[in-house]
Amino acid sequence: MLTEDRFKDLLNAELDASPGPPMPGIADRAAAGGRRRARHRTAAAAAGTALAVGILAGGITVVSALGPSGASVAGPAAGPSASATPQAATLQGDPRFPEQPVPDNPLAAQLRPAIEQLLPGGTKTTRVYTGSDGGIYATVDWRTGQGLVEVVVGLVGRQWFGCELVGGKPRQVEGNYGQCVLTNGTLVGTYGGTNAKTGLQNRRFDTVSDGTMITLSYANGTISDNATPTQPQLPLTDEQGIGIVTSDAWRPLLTAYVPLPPGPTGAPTRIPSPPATVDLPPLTSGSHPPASSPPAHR
Amino acid sequence: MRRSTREGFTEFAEAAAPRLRQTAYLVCGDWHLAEDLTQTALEKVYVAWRRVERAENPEAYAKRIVLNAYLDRRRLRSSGEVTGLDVRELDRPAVDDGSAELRLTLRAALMRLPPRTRAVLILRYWEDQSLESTAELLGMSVSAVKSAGPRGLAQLRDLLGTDLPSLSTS
Repeated sequence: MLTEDRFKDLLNAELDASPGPPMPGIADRAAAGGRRRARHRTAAAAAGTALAVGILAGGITVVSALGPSGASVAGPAAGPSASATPQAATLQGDPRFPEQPVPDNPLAAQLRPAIEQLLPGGTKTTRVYTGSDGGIYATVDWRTGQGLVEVVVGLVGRQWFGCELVGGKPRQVEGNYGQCVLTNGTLVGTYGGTNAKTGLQNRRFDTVSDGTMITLSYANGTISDNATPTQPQLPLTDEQGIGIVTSDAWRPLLTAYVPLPPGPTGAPTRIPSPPATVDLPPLTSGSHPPASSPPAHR
Repeated sequence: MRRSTREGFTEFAEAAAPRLRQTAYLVCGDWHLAEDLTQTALEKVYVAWRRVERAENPEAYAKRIVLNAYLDRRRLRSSGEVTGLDVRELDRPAVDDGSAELRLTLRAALMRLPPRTRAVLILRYWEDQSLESTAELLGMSVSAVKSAGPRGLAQLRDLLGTDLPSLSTS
C-alpha cells in the first residue's frame, strides 16, 4: 500500500536516480537578476512618484478652482510586508549536500584564458569561482558587438548527465527533456529554448570526459528568468557551442581537476564511462536543436 | 549591497538552491522549470535580502516564493496542461520492485493531482513539514492542509490502482 513512508522512499529513489542537471553559477545569476529587479522596481517607483506628483499638481489646480472640499490625500506606497516571512516553517538540512562551504579551487583561474580564447571576437570580462558542488566555473560577460551576453562554462563531477550510448547511438535517459547528439565520438547533451514572455533564447551543452562533466550555457542576453534579449540571435551557433564544449582546450584542466567524492548517502554518480570508440554517424540536422542564425563573430 | 551582505547571500543561495530545486522538481516534474523557479525565487530573495537574512528561516521564505511562483504560473496556464511529463507513462506496465517503472508511474500519477494537492503531499510527506509550516508555505488554512494530505494520498492510490495494485491496497 502507498503509505506516507513508501511515498517518501519512492520520491527519494526518484531523486537519487535523476538528481538533475548542473546549475552553474546559480548564486551569481540570482544576484544579477536580483539587481535587475531592484533597478526595475526603483525605476517603476520613480515613474509612479512622477505620475503621483503630476496628478497631485493637477488635483491642486482643480481643487483651487473648486474650493477646499475637493481635496484628496494620497496614502504612502505599500512596502514589502515583514509578515510575509514565514516564522513557523522549519526545514532540515539535506545530508546529500555539503554542510560546509567548498574551498576555492585555484584551478578555476585556468578556465578564464581557455574560454576567452574559445569564444570568438568581442570584449570579454570573466569571473571564475568554485561552486558548492565542487565544480569550477567561469562566467563571461561578453560584448559581442551586438549586445552584452552571458556565457557560463564549468567542469564538475557527480552530476546528472541526460544521455547514454545504446548500441553506438545516443539516447536520452529518464528525466531528460533535451536532446542527445554524438559528434566526433563525443556524446553531448543539448538543451535550449526561448522564453515566451521575454523572447530570451538560451542553450546549454554538456558532455562528460573521464568522469568530469563539461557544461556550457549561454543566452542572447544574461542567463536569467526575467532577462530580456540584448541581441536578436544567440551569440553562438549550436555547432560552435558543441565545438567549445568538446574542445581539446579542456584536456589539461580535465587532467588536473579532481571532483568531490560521492555524497554521504552514497548516491550513485550519474556520469557514465566515456563512449567507446565506434563508427559514428555524422551529426545530422535533425538530431539537435534547430541551428541558430549565424553568430555575431566567427 | 555591502560585500559582507553580498557574500552572505551567495553563501545562502549556493546552499539552498539544490534543495529548493528538488522541491520545485517534485512539484512541477521538470528539472528546467524547477531551475527557473529556483532562480526566480533567489532573485526575489536577493532584492529583499537585508530583511530576509534577519528572518528566522530564509530558506522557508525562498521556498514559499518557489511554490507560489509555480502555483501562480499554473493558474495562468490551461488547466489541462501537464508540465514536463508524458501522462501516457501511466499506460506502461509496471513492476512493483522499486524499479524505474514504478517510480515513473508514481511520478506520472503525482502529476495528475491538482498542483496544490501535490505541493501538500511533497511538503508534508517528503519534507516532513508540520501542518502549520505547510499551511504557512502554501497560504492555506491548517484544516485545509490536514484534509488535503490524506485525500491526496487516497487519490494517488486510486490513480495507481490499475498499474500498481500492491500500492493501492494493503
